[in-house]
Amino acid sequence: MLKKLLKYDLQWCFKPLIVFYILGIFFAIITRVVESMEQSLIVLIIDKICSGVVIAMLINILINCFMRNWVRFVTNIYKDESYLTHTLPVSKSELYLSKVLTAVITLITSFVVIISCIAISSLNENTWNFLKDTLEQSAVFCNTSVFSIVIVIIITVFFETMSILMSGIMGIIIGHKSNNLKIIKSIIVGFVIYIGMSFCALGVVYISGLLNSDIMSLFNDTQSTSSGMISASKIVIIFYAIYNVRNLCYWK
Amino acid sequence: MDYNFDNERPIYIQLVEMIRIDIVSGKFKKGQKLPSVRELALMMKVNPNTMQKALVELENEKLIYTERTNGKYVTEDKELIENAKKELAQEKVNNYLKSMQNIGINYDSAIRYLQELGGKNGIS
Amino acid sequence: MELVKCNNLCKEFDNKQILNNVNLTIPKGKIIGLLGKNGMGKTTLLKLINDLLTPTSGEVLINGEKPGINSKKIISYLPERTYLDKSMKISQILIFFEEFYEDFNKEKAIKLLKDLDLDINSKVSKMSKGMQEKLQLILVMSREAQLYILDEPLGGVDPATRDYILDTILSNFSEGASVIISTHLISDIERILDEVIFIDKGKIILTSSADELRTKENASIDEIFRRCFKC
Repeated sequence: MLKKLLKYDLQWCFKPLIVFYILGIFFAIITRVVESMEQSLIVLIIDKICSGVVIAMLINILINCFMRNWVRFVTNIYKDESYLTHTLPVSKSELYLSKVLTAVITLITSFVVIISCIAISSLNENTWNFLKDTLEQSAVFCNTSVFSIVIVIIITVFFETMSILMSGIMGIIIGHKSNNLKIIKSIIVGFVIYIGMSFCALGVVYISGLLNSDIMSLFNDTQSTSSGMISASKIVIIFYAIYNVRNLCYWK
Repeated sequence: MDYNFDNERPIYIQLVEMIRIDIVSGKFKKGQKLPSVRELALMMKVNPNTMQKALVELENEKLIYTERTNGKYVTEDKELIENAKKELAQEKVNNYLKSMQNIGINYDSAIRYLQELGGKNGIS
Repeated sequence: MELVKCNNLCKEFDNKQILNNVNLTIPKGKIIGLLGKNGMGKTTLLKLINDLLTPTSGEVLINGEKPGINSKKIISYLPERTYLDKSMKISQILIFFEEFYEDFNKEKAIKLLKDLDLDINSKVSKMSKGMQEKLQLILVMSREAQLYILDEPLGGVDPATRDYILDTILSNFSEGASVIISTHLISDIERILDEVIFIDKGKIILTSSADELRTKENASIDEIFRRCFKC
């Protein structure tokens, strides 16, 4: 049954996203083509417009990815449609798991599309070298490989956005336990949870700093040490992971 | 076919009356197989359970009988149908006479009205 | 065994007692009218049976089990709201029901939709509210369920639609199944009822066979109901 639920959740969430994906990639390609043309005023203007559209599309994709997941959750679990959702012969955990998996899948897909759009529209020898240099420098600075830096960044960004999404959903759940002003309460609670959680993450890093001088230097020194950064981000990742898993348990 | 029910009396009794009329009037013929309970219920737009109850009642009156696996049939007994018809006729006549009495018309005048109007309307 | 059994069922919202110690059994193969004025707990009781709410105390048993996946497989529920995803086409909704409910008879649904001249390829959002309600009734009655729960199926409809709804219910509920119909419009519906349950202020105040009640009181159910709840 989980597969069937997932199918319908994904269908619903991806429907408008796919339009933005296609538009984003389309304009990214145009930007690329225009940039390779001979420089002239008109080309320059078209180039600016196109890259503007690309950026707008990317923001659109990100916001819509969040909104579709949240709106789906509210309509499916709490609004009129809930009469159908909750009388389907499926378990509650499958119902919620499907929503979380949908969030993960839409988020990953959106990131892939966003990165590809950026790559298509503006990756050339200069930017590639710049990116490589920056990564290499930070790798040297952190005393680790480029590969692990990239991995850490990707995982951190993923968990960070995932926890924004989850905080929103938690806000919706708590907000809908009250009898009135459900949506406003959902937004406020979700926001508070997210801020609170970010401070918690900071707190956890600080506490582990008491045990690890490398991490502590992040708080003390103006010039933070390399290994401290890596350890801190590891801890943040673990914290977010625990937070998201705990959210799942809370729903059941 | 339009069946109107009076909500103040048990539906199954009204069903019994309706089907009894259908039998004595020959709409359901002697020895004819009746539609299934569900079909009858749908025809008369009532609950199958109520229809079942009505059919049991008619079976008690022997107007219909069940052949074990084949369903329900109208009785073959001519006399039984005639009796039922007679009973119904008596009831109607009684009602007629009673209502005539209520408006102050005696038995003889009532008969006269019957003959006059019956002849006029071509009912013999 | 009884199809549904409520034992000392209570439900509170914000310290307000909505259902108060309800004891009830729903037998198999009956059409039951759950009759009561608005706001007396009819919908709450039906929601409890459908696992949309959890009791404050007491329990609901369906085939001897608490509401859950098994009860949802055998109960076909028509709520008061339109619960369909309006962005879907009718044909997609039919597939949805077929995928989730093993007892859904798609051919029957298609036939009933044809009788209404409904185009299967039209979107739900393009349909009028009345049509959406009929579509929902068709979906619910096209399941070969053991229990149909219909919450106010006649609320605010014209006489022609009322006849259509009653016909659809009568001709489509599966053999041996029970039907619970909640309503405050009794005269429209009483001729198809086997049993009646009167509910008032969260309490069951009367359960009886409809015909027995008529014989005993020598009046229609509607009339008896009015006498019971004279303002």
